[in-house]
Amino acid sequence: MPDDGLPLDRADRWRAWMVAAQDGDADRYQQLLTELLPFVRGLVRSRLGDDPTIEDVVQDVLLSIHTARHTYRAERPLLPWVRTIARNAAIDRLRRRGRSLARLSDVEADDLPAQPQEPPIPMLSPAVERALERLPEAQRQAVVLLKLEGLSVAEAARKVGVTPGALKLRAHRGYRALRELLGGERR
Amino acid sequence: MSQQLRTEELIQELAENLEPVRPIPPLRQVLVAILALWAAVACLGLLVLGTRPDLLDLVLAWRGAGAVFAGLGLAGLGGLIAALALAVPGREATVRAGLALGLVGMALAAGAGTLMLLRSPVVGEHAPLSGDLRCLGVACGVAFLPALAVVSLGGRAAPLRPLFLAWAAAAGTAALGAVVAQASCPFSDPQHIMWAHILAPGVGAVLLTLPLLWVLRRVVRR
Repeated sequence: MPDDGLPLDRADRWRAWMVAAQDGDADRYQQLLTELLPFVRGLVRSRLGDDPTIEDVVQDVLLSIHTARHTYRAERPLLPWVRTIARNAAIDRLRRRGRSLARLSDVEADDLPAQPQEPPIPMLSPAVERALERLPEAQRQAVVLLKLEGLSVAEAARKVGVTPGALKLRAHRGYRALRELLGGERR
Repeated sequence: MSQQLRTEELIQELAENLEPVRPIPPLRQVLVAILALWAAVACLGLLVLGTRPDLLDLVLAWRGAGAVFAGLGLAGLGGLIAALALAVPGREATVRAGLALGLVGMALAAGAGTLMLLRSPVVGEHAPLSGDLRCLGVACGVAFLPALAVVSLGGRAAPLRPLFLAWAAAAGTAALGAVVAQASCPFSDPQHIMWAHILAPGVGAVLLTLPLLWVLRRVVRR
């Protein structure tokens, strides 16, 4: 059966690669995510337009695909599964934008190099500080190292003693928790 | 461009940290397991509470209470299907089918209840408030374990809309709980059947959604 109008061989290939990824085949998984990337970008762009944070949402989608990969079943088409994840990530982004979490967005979008001579916490508003304090230690550490101290993923991972992927996942969970906490404070 | 490089870096990191996972079981299998759990709780409840002496006649009387049984059963099944499908990305069609089934069930039960109300004598014996509370309590009590099972399984999948999932689980299992309330209820008062049986899914949704959402979030965080 064609998978969302894709050529049959590509739809079948992606499905087979996803099944291989569920078995732990890292090469196939990397190939799958790489081939899915333009599709995911297109989906996100169709929802968000020219939003400057599109690539962040694309990364959210990839992380969601990673954490939800056990929910894919081989007998089902892959693309509706990916599309739902992408759509929800985009809706999340639109909701966050609607809530005008400007301060947090500043922290997230901050790609400026770190200024290590300045202590990081005073840069934050009291609300963000409080939210940071409520995060689990591992997540707080990842957020602080990446976003406040400006370390690269590899540097931060080395400092904490975990793999870069694990650090990125911790940071991602931390951002989500921060958004929820800050959203809750504003309601 | 640097963002794009970071995304490709992320893909590499995700692939490097890939671990084998076991795919979740098919929805149909999970649905059967939840229904089996409900059946076990329902049997236990009926053993404790006892069944109405005229239960078989009621079930077979399609126009009256029998239609209420069927409607509540369909509503419960639809709610369960929707809740379970909400935990799996890409199953929107199944969610819609579940909700449609649930609505048809509720319409059937409410229609039968309304007919019973219209046909009942103006002056008759009414069930006491304690009777209403008893049946609502039975519906919600029977719903509790199956609802917990739904959100536990849902939390282990990928619930993208947790509040909706918790609501569907609460309403669906309360509808199934109301079937037990109907089967064990000593009253034949149509008003009581309407308020304490047919509207039990709504009451269950109000009472159980937030606790279930809390459980769901705990399971997801684990």
